[in-house]
Amino acid sequence: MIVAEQKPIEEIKGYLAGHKRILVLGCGTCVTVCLAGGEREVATLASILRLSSDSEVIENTIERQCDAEFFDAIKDQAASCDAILSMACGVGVQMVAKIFPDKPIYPALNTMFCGTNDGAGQWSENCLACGDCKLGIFGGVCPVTRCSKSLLNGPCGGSVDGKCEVDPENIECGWQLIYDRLKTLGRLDVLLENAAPRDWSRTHDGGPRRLSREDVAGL
Amino acid sequence: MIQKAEQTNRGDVGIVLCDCGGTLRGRLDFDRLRKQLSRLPAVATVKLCSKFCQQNECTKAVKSLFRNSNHITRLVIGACDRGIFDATLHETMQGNSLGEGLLWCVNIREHCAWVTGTPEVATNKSAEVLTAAVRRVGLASAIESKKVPVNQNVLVIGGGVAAMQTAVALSHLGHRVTLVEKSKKLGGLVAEMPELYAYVASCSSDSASLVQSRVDELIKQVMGDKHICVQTAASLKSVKGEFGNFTCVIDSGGKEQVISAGALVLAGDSATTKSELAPLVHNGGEVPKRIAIVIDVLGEQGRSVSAGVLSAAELLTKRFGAEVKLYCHNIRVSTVGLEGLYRRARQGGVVIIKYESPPLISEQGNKTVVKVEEPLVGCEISEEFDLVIMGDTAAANGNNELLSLIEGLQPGPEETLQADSVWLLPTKTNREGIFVAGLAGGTDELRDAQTDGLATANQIHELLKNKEVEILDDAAVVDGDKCVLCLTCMRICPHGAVSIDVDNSVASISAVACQRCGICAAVCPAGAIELPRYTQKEIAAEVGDRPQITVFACENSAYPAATAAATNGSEYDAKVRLIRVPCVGKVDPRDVLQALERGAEKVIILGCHLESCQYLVGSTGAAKRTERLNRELEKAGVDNKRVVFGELASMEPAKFLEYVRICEGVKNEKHREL
Amino acid sequence: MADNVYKSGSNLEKVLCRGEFAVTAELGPPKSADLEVINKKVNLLKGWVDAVNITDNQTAIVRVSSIAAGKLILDLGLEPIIQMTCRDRNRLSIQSDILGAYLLGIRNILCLTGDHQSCGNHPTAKHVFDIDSIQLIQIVKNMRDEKVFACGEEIKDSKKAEVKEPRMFIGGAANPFADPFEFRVIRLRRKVNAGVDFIQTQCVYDIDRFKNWMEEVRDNGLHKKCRILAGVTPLKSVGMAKYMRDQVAGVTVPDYYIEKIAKAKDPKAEGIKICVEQIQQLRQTEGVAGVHIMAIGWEEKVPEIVQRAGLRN
Repeated sequence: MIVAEQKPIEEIKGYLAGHKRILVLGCGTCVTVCLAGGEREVATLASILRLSSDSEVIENTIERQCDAEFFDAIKDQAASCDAILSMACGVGVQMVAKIFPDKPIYPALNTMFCGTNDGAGQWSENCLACGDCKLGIFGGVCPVTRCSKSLLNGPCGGSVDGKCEVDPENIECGWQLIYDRLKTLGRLDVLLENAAPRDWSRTHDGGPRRLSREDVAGL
Repeated sequence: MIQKAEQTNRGDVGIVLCDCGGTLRGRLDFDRLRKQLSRLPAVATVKLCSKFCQQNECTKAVKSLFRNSNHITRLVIGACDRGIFDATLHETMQGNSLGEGLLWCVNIREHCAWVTGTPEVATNKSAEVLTAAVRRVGLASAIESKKVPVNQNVLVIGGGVAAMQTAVALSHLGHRVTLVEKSKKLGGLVAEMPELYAYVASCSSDSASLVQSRVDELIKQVMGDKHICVQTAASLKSVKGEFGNFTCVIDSGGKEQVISAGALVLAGDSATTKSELAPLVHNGGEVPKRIAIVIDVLGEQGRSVSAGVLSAAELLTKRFGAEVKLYCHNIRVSTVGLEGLYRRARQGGVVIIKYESPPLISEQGNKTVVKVEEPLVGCEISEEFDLVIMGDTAAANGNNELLSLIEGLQPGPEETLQADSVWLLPTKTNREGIFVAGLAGGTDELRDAQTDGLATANQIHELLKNKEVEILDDAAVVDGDKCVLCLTCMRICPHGAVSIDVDNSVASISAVACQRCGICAAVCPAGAIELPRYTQKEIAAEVGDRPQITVFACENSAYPAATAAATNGSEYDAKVRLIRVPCVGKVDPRDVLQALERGAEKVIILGCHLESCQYLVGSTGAAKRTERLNRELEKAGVDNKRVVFGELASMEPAKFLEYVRICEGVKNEKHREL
Repeated sequence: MADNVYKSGSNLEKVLCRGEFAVTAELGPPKSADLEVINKKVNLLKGWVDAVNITDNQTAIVRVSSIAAGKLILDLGLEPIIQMTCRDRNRLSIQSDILGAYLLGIRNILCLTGDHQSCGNHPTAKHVFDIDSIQLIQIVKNMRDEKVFACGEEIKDSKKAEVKEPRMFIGGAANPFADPFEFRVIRLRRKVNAGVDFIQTQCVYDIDRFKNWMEEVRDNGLHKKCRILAGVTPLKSVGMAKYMRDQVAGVTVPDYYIEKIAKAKDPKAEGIKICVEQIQQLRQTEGVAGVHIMAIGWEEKVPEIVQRAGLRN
């Protein structure tokens, strides 16, 4: 799931300064689930903006901001505003900008990562969308994401008690996790082989990626 | 037939105002109130009454509302604290089609008349509060009651004293009980080592046999009772369902059995020092000469540990003539018989050595050396022993397993199965219909364990005495269209009342398990959950268009504290309006912000002390949310001193006054006619 | 042995092939374009060590590049071991730098993963980690022995040109005390499989634990497949000892040493004494082919340590 968090309110206010009528637009999918940009957060942020400025602030939330069709319901409302504050992830914000090219569009969130929910109110990153998933080899723990240095032949030797040197309080050593998991599976033999340098061209390093299902596209 | 809620613009609200035997006439202008309220388009009629707390007066007043072909679909009562007339009103409303959901009570006595200086201001406040109530009740939905069939059988996990006592008591109250014990026989730890429980009986030399006979008696009762089905060498494998309808699977010698029950009692034991010592005690002549017992826990250990080590020490010294030294940080003797046991142990020759930091234990040849810094003597003492026993805290093996089997069950301190909340005493857990008794709840003493059993049986009988329970259908409700299955409500609910309805892809809240605290509604990111009678619209209507000092008052703490303040003769600013909530965990930041946007100079959120919240996490959640909101307000440049969170208890009226800022020099010395 | 039998022909390689107990030290290049710093440090170490490591933006703090410093040191008569991390370079710049370093006369390279940029003075920088230390070792080896680049192409300027490969003596790091402990010897074996010629370990204080590791290394025959130089760092003070124990990943300092330095009248002298004793013990340990003295900010003591340990006169 995409996990995002709200930007500092000062930054948001900085974007909105000077705009008279603002639409705060929420998204009902990923950012609702990660408690960052759903209906509740829209209402709360809009309220704070109204309390702290002279602008007129209206609110709405649509199902998803990454699909154009969902914007039909709010087209008129958006047209009546002179700026839109999108509470969606970066994908949604860009879609809003695409659909309303003549309006200033601002993000209310910082899109952080693809991750998992570790319990109410806590999330952690565990997929970098590298385009070449090797989870089958590493016991279901991703070395690209869970290792701070993305090593394929880890560990680096800097970990202590299974914690990464970069942030021992919060980050577990990904390679310790891989080791423990492979040990449980009885597959430590995997770690006897050296992994070759990976092909980074399938990540964003190769350019913004595209995907197409040939049996559906163009119908 | 009960009407569904509609926005009321026609006059269908009936109001009864009580002048408290005339005593409020000097403080409130009832004529003005009646005139003002009658003019509201939503109000059909306003009746005055003098003693609403008296049955015939109450009934007369309410009945008079329905005369004159008034089409009354809502009721507002303006009187004293509801507790005073609640039973009376309940009696009156029997047979009336208007249910609880369409009725709202306003306290114009303790919360308006008594606490406001001048009659004019008091009347203004009362008028506004009653007007808000009219708005509020207009948005209410009818709440029906429903009957939920329940299974009157009970499943008891465990086979010791607490478990057996529960089973016997339940059987006497008419319930069928299944007792599931993991070992091959009943009796638990007491049967295994009655000597170690001897301290509870008396100081007499045959106290062990007294204890033994008590246990044997219980076993006889259990085995002879045809309503108690005993399964030994059996363990619990899974638990599904909710209060009234639990479905459990037990494994009995490799065979699986499904047992349905309306309530669960967790009365098993967990390993303690005693079971470590059992083989030692029963080995008789092979007891080593020099024994050290080490409790290596700093701070207070559980009573069960003290009881265990002291009785073991006494036993080893007296019966087996061993030399016993007990190393501890301190010893808790806060239960019946323990102090006597402590003294006897010391008289018997047990040496107790207190330490500041845990001793170092090392092997040297076939002896074990215990080295400790003795604070009084001021030096290190090192001694050799033939055997060193660690008197650990109750090991949680058994309990951890249970915790993983029962979803949403919150553990307590020292890995017991009862969350640390005064509201759960004596034997409830945070999950409706699941109880603890005996060691599972931290009760170690023999008679206390029996008391646990009796208390649990009574509590269960209260819930399951009929084949159906009647409950108000006012549990929190999830709007399936809005729910995104983020699982936040399920994780946050302190009572395990939320589950996932996979077929309908929506969070589902159990009508019997929901405690109506509203915490889920306040956290749902999609605004998909509403608590009947405390919906966002209803609360907004009560807060009103021109709030001044809005106090969200928890009905367990702030609300009664406000009443107590009034009874004590205090007064405070008439701008203060109390918005009653079941728990401050229900208070939504959106409600707070809305009040601020409407011009409130202050929004005060007053709830129970964090550790005393009836719903475990409600108060803490409200505190955290307020902190976060204030941070954001501050960064946005909004005065964040306008929003305050406070903790208090129902008997702390002074605290309440502190928060609402008592007006200068208004300590009221007048007596009131009560 | 004839020169063309050596892999790289570096002095360090020759010393180790001869079976002599090798001594290396460490030199941190300056954080500025100050040549004097380099001159001074070289003067302290010249003649006392077989080769000296030049760190590569160590702890992610910007310093003179290791290759540039290596060339300067070479010209001053001291043999460099350039350190190369994977944090700041991708495989293109790595291979390019190896070709260049070789042409400048550098013959020893220590292949490292590299500290994360968050611990340095440019924590907002993007890191690279295109490859890791093991893949780096493999690439350097393939350039030398298979005479190919990482993409598989032969190392020659054009189709008709001669193959001219860089021939480096390849080093790697090993930490006998890192987590997961059971895995450390396997990781060493993997570096050996990748082609490492010599190893320098993280500084050792707990000699007993180190000996346990060496035993396992010997059981696996790894001490014969690569030359192991044990790392040592003289302790200056109790504060430093505690810092090493608590803040440096993978380093344990036994209480025994901390107590000794705390009780000593001259902690610095005690620190040197301990270091010398450690070197002597390490020299006795089978499989240890040399010692790597990391006297951080205390390079002037290296000659004394080397002399007192009987490694040089």
